[in-house]
This record gives sequence, structure tokens and C-alpha cells, in this order.
Amino acid sequence: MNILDFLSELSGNTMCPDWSPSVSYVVMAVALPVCFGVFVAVALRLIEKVFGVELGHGRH
Amino acid sequence: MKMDGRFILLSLVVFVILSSALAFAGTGLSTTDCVKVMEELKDLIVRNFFYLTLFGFIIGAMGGFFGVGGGFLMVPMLNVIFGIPYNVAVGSDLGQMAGMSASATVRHMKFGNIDFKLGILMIVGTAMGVEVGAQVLQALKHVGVVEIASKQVNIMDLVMSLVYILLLIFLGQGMIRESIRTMKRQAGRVDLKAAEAPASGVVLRLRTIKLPPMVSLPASGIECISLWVILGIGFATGFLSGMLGVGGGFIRMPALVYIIGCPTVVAVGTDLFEIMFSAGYGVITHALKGNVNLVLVLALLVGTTIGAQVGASFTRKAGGPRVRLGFGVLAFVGVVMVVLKLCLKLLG
Repeated sequence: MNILDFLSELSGNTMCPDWSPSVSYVVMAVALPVCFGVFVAVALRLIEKVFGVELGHGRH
Repeated sequence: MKMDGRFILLSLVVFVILSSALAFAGTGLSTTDCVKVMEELKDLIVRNFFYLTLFGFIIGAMGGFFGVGGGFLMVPMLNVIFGIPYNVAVGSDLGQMAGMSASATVRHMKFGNIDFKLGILMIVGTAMGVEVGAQVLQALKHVGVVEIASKQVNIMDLVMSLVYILLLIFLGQGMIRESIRTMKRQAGRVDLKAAEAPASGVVLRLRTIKLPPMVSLPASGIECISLWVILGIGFATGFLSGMLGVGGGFIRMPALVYIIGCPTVVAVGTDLFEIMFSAGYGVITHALKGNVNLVLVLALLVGTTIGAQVGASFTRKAGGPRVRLGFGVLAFVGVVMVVLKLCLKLLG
């Protein structure tokens, strides 16, 4: 099972009336973007330091 | 953009649309139907992962180029282009936004331009607004379909399309007017005082409300302001985030500067801080309601992260009010696309 199938399975049939959220689904919904965002920020800082360039700072 | 009667009029029209939708409520999907619909949706998202990433890249690049989040184009275009239901588009877009704002906050941290007292007070209003917005969307999700011209139309699609049409027109015309005014001012054709007049009568009245409790915001240099004004701004932007999946910066930024009176640099930092919390809380509450598709979040995250960097590097080369004019025009292109999709659904 690849990552996409895993995430797809975790999402479940969310539109059904008898659906209830699992803890792993809610935790993943928050952890996935936040960890990804922090990882990207650290990676960009590293690239700036190593290559001596200035990259975008995100919004604004 | 000025905060004036146009915004109040927009709010009233949205309220009428929502009330009418709930009044015409039909029946929701049966369990068998919804399992089939969900399987099709999951399959659609996995099959189109590359195109969704590419779409995220384009929106991210435009957001980076124009200096905005791009959420108000992301949600309607996910529905128009890919056919993703509005509730899933909103929940997943908030997930993408939580990641982008976490990244931007870490990158902005070194500047330290955040008024934490103002930010924390505003979070209370923002959280309430996000929850109310998410509950409204949840109610729309379950109201089912309505028959218009002998066609079965999903009420949530209809209402969200109408609300987005109004929002995009409101934002587009605001950006175009602002950029034209700036270009005229740069060309020396407009009186500087008249062009920079930031506050209309409504804004001035909000600023001078003396309803206790009053708070002071030393980090922003504000001696006294009603707590209710701060909570009200937080609630309004939170409602937009929770219901429409937008960051709300286009309301919060001018509100922080013109109504509360923050210096622009503090408004930028505090706005970012607020987006992080509204998107964070938004993704939790939408996940609990089943509106977050994790594959879609991943596709949008990857695309927007790369796109935002590419877009930002081009801004340094282009820049100026023409960029904002371009984004205003783009908002109207979005309006045309949403209207076309709605017409095809009603006539096709």
C-alpha cells in the first residue's frame, strides 16, 4: 500500500451520516500540514544558508 | 481596500442566500449513495494527484506573486475544475493553509512583528467565527437537493457558488480600484490626501466605540480600544475561514490597520499569527465533520509550497500596483468560471 492509498483509507467515507472520525484521521489532518510546513521552513532556511540566497518568506 | 457599506451589503446578501437555502432544504444522501459518492471522490483525487499538485502549484505561484494566500480562488476552482464538493474543498484547503502558515510563521519569526496580546484576544473571536462558519457549511452539506427548472441541484453547491461569486466580485473590484488609485497617485494625477484617505464613516464609528471592557495594546501603540471591536473582527474573519476556507487576510489586514490602528508591519505579523490559528482550528473542526481529504491536502501542500517560492521570486522582478490589478482581473475570471459551471448545471 503506498502513501496515497494509506491516506485515502484513513479518510474513510466521511460524507455518510453514520461516519464518525477516528483519532488517527484527526491527528493526521493536523499533523500532516503542520509537520510539512515546519519541514519546508527549516529546509528553506538551510538552502538560504548553504547557497547564500534569499528565498520568499511565505504570505505577504 | 476600504471597509465600508459595500461589506455590510455583501454580508446582508449572503445572509439572505443562506436563510433561503435552509428554508428550501430537501433530502440528503442515503447511506448506500454516500458510500458510492465517497468511493468515486477518493478515486478521483488519487487518480488526479499529479494534476491537483499542478493546480496547487499554479495557485501557490499566483499567491506568491501577488502576495496573498490565494484561498479564495483555490476552493471555487477545486469545485469548478475537478468537481470536488465544496465542503471537502474547504476542509482540505484549510489543511493546506495550516501548513503554509506554519511554514511562513517559522520564516517570519525572526522579524518579531507580532502583537501577541492583540493576537490572543482576537483568537477568541476567530475560533467562535470558524466554528459558526463550519457549522453553517455542515448544515448546508446535509440539506440535500432542490429542484430548479426541473433539474436537481445540490443546495450546498448552489449557495457556495453564489457566495463565492459575490466574494470574488467584492475582492476583484476592490483590488482593481485600489491599484488604479495607486497608479494615478504615482503618476501625480490624484491629490495625495484624498487618495490615501483610509477610513469611511463606518470605520471611524467602529474605531470610536467605547463599549467596555476597554483594553490597551502597547505593542501596537494603542492606548484604548473596546474588546468587542477586536472580537468582532476576529469573528468576521473566522466565519469566512470556517465557511469558505479563506485566510480572511483581505478583511483582517485592513481592519487591523484602519479600525484598530496597528502599524502595518505589526498588522502583517499579527495577521499571519491569526491565519495559523484559524486554519489550525478550522482543520480540526472540519476533520471532526469529515470534510478533510488527506490525499488532497498532501497534493495541495506540495504544489503550493513550490509554487509560492517560484511566484515570490517573480514578484521581485515585476512588483507594483499592476500586479494587484492583474489579481483583480483574475478574480473576475474566477467569477466567470463559477457562473459558467452553475449555468451548465442548471441548463445541461
